[in-house]
Amino acid sequence: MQLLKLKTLIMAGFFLLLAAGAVFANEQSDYSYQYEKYSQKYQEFINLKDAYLNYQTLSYKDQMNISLQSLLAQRAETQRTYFLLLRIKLRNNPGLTASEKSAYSNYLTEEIIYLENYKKKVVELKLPTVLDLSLLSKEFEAKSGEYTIKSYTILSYLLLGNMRDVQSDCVSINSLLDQEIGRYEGQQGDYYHSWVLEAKNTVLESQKLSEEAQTSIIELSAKGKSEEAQNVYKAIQGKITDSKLAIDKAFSYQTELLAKMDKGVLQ
Amino acid sequence: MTDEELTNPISGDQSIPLKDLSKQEITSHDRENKEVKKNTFTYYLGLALAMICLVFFGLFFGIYMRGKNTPVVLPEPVPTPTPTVEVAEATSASTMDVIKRKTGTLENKLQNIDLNNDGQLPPQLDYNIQEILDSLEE
Repeated sequence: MQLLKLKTLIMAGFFLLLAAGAVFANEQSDYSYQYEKYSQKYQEFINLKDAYLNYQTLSYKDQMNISLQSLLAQRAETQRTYFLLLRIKLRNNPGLTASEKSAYSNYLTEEIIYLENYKKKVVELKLPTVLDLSLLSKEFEAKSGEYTIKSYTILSYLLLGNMRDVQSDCVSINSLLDQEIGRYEGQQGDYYHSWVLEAKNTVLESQKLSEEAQTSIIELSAKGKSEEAQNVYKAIQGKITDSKLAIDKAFSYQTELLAKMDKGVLQ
Repeated sequence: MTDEELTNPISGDQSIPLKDLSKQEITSHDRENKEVKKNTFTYYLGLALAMICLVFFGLFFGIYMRGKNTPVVLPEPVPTPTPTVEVAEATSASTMDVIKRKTGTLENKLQNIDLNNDGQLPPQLDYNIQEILDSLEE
């Protein structure tokens, strides 16, 4: 009966994992699909615009307007699916605090609703003129700077959260190793202790780099310029990568110490 | 008794007309048919119920027998008091197990950690549409 219960639990866990994976896969593939569709519509609009400028016919003008209307709706839809993807990534991130998650998740939810309404407004326009569409386009483009900064800020937080998660695991292993080597005395104890100390120092180094990255993220979100957002993000990514290298080093100290303890060696 | 009375004992108003008699017979046939149909239906209903009961009984019986055949898990013997050194070793072994399990998980995480956000960078949505529109308005 216990085996049956265990099997049921394993099956339930498996299906839960599958469901979570499926949700994430949906958001990702939806975004990729909408982005691809946007690229197609953009090209279509550019072709029609060129045709209209070349021939100046009323027919081309109408076709161009309809194509532009569809393009504006698609642009909003692409941005909306991108925010949906960011929101699910944010919610599933293991290393971010609840307040960090909710702050950006709430922002994304507000913008997702705004974009839904915006898209509706564009689609509902009947026989739109270039002026109508121009006004709607201006409304969306006024938000582009903010969207760029927020997107890179959230992406940076996602990296930071992933890093914090492995750091926390490393710290937990260090404290267990501390507990374990407490049994050893004398030269052997000192030797093992020095290995744990090395591991602890490198974790601290990694945490320091992550904190530096966090300071840059706060600066980016508070007073960042959209044109520089990508470069700032790359710098943050660099710091997080260095932080990861330090954790790799700490992990190698831990595994080496474990191997030594298994063999009972002193060198 | 007259000849007429002998051949037809029911006389006068008490006699049932031939027409009415045939009607009565038809109704009684109908009733009989209905009764037969009703009995057939009840028979099949009973049969179906019996089959369902049999299936459920088989199911429960199977589950019961399976439960009975499962080896009884005996409670683990209560550990007898052991010398302090051995207890310390046992605790240590379990800590080592936890450490090894945790390092296994961490190794996996370090191998799969996402530091690139691949496929999740902001879309390039050509914010120059406005410029194009301005040129068209001119």
